[in-house]
Amino acid sequence: MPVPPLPPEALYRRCDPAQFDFETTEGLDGEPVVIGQPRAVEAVRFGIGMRHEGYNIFAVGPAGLGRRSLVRHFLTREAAHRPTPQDWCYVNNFDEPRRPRALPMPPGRGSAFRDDMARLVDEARAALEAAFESEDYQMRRQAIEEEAREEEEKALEELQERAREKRIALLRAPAGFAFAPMKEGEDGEVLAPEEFQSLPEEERKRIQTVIEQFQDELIKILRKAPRRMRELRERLRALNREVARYAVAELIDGLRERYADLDAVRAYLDAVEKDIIEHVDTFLQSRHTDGEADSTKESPDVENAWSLSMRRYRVNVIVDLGRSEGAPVVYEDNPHYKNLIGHIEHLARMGMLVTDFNLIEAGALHRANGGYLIVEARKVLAQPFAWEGLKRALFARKIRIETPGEATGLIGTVTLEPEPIPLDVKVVLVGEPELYYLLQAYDPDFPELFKVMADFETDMDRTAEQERRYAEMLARLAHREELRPLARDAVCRVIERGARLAEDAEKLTTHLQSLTDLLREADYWAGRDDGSAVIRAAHVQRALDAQERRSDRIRNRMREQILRDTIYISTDGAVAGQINGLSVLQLGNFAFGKPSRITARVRLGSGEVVDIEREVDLSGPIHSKGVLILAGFLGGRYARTRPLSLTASLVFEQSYGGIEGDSASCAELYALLSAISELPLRQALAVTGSVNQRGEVQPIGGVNEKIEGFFDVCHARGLTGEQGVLIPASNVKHLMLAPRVIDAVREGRFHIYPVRTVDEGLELLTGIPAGERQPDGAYPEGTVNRRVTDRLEEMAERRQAYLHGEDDGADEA
Amino acid sequence: MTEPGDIVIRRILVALDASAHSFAALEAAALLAERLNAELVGLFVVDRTLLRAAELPFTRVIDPLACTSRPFESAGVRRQFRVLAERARLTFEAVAARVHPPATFRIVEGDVTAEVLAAAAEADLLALGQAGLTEASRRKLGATARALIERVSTPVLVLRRGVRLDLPVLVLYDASPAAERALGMAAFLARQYPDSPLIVLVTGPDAHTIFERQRALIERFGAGPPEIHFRPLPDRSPLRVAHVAAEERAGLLVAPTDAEALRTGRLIPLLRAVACPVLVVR
Repeated sequence: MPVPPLPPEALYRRCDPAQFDFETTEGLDGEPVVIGQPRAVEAVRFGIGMRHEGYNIFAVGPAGLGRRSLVRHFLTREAAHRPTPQDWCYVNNFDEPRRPRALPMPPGRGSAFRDDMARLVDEARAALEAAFESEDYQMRRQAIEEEAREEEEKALEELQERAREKRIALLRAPAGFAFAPMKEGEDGEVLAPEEFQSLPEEERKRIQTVIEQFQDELIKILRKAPRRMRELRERLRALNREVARYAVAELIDGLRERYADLDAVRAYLDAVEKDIIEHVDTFLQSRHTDGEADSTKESPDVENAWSLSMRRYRVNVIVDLGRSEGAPVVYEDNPHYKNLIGHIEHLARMGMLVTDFNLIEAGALHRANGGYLIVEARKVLAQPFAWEGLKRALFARKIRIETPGEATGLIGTVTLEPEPIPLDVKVVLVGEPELYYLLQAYDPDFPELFKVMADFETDMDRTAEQERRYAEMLARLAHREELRPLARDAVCRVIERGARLAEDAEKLTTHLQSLTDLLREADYWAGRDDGSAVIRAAHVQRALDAQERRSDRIRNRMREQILRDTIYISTDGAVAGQINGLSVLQLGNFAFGKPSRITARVRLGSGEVVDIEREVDLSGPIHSKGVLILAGFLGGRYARTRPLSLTASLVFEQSYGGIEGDSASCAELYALLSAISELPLRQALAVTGSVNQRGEVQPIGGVNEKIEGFFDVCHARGLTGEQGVLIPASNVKHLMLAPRVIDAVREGRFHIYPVRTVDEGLELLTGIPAGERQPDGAYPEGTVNRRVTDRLEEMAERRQAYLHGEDDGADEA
Repeated sequence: MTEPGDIVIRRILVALDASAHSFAALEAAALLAERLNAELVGLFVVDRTLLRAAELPFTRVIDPLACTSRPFESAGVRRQFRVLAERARLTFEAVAARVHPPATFRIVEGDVTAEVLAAAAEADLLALGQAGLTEASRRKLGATARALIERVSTPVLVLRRGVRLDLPVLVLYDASPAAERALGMAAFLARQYPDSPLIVLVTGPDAHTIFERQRALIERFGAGPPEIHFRPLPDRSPLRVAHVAAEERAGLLVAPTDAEALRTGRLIPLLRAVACPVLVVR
């Protein structure tokens, strides 16, 4: 009894519009866009919930499954319930400017503090200028200077007076002081040399001694000058400090009160106060504190220099969460090192590159601190140092901003070493399975840091309930993409398409990208053709047809070659040792089936099956395996009592590229058996399916494309009603064929045969029963198997005879 | 009452000792001479007392910067004076080259104060630096400058290094005879610069007196020229005056002085306190 063809209903699992209670997807709202990912959702939830170190998440799956949307959806929901983390500011470290301090602030207060500090500087400047211009200050300053001056003046005057009493004059020479004896009398004229000489020697000596004494005294007075100057400077500095402290104390106290709850800020304000007092002269740069010069006009240069020196009091708010609620969820699109870890910019000033804490820029880790960071694994791995930098930060639980050069110890220029900021972030890497397993295998840090794998499915079960959820998801997608709503029939058509994409009538694809594209394109056709307000099934079909049309140039080219008999494919008649096999070509997103002629020839030999493809290295290992299985099958079934005495060769005719996969092994076996038995095979049929050593037909992939590929050729030549495809019975559940095939089947012009065993296939292809082994081990007369065994026996005998010199040659089959 | 016509400045004497202060005085004197078409006379005095002292066998000179002493030699002092005089002359000539009226430079030998006083008697204005070479780094008003200011009867313009004569002119006014002369001089100078007002700091024992004095001045000067701005100044302590001068960005302060002011020692602190050039008028 030959296998009956499949009824049209088995070729396509429709989605019944009656199961839906909506007319269009308008107002239909599902939860998240992503469905059919219970495992991944569980994992993501678990990962979010685990607050322990290392429970970062790796969302694994091929691109287009909506991994990022799903992760973001759950993270955003979770983040809303979590506290808004701190703001972070970098401020000057007055003790060590090279190592800027990091100040945590309650959310929103970072920028307030920055503004407060800017105001403080302006106000301090005004207050200090007023204080230092005040008469009070000038008076005190002058008093101090006067005092210091007077001390020396007094000492000099006193010395001069004492000298005068002894009739010695203190003279001021161009290069210093000198003492000289004076004449008697009031005007104190200096003694002329001759007058001096005329004095008695005793007197001269006395004068000389006295003068020497005075000289020593004068030197003593003058020697005190540096110390006095130093004292003067110190006293002036003390005065300046006192005045400055008084001037700014109130301003800073105001801030201290405002930030009384923040110890770090208070400590910083203490440092600021100390620094302002110590550097009061920089504050007063635009005026002249020494009162010596008259120009108080402010030049732009002075202003410039002033604002430059005031940079030290600025607050660099690198994380400002003032307007955020809940924890941040950051997706870093370009996760290179600088964008992740942050960096320090430089300014060109006077031909040099300089930097300070104001030029520290936050990275994604800063922005995501206290929340979640989503990064694509492929991108972060492709950027130099980025992966290492990310791992280092996660291990250390600190963000230390350094250049990759510093981090690797290659560059040692003096730059900033900002105080590291404590890091508490959950990182979600999104990547393909290959990356995940490669990292698992080769990066020992990886399993420690990314303990949660969120594995995404590429398809989901197709049940009525799931179809309903699928519809909701489509509604959501259409809404998100701002597309027209889908009519009920369009939803059904998309669901059917989802099954086709899953290559399984009982599954639906979870590849959101393809669905989104389909919806967008259907929306386009809906708008373009009839200005429809909703997307209908026709629009979806139109979109699918257009997709196919855009990609099918190669397919048509190949079909054309077949139709023009450049590539030989017979679709009628019967030929021994020749069969139509089916293969699938995948070109980007587009896959199509293509028939190929497979031929087999046999001759006397020692039992091997020669795969010509393999001989010339055009076959992949799986194909070769399939062919070797054929030999196994032949031997097992037909050569139980005597050796196989043939050599068979198999070839894919007109195949100039490589062949891989075992889906043609079934067809090859039929060709081989036909060649052995010399029974012709029906060329109107094509065959797909792999076979095992026991002759059972096993499922293969791409069944829909293969059937359609052969159908299209037959259809173009004109369907005879004889044509059809043999598929493995276990592939029936995968059938989601194109309407044109189903129509032909319904009309009885094309047939799909589900085949379980080689024997079933042989019956269909030869029209002769395959025959079952009888208790005596032989097959009944008039069956294919009998014919095969007879032929093999014949060949064995001939070979035997040949080997013993009884015959004159091998009979080629 | 002083009439504007009373003041004639035909000759300006500048005492030069080659110090930076004295060169500042030279610049100021040259500016004035140019504006007033006056003759500029530069005077360098070789201090005879020093020469004589240097001839004594045992005198030594003490260097205030190094605090060391070395023999004080006549030849050395003369050489130093020659160098300084030459420097003073060159500078004077360079500055005078910008001045059209006759400029003369003299070197005399004698007692410094006496020689400058003698020369000042023939001039209408004396310009000098606030300190000499030796005191430059220490004292704000040198002994010679102080002696000259106390004894000279001609108006004395005192400058310190780095300071330029400028506008506006400020004058301290307390209705004393000296103040009247100072006001006259200030008004005379201010008239030379019509764009710039004269600022009169009116002082007095009480607010009423100040007000009255100010009113009298307004009546006297009317709308000018010069244009006059008044600023009452109840407290005329040197620091207060210096502060106001700084506030007004004064280019010149004209300060009256008399025997009493000198005796009570009001002038010297004022000269020390004020940042701008001061013209002392007796």
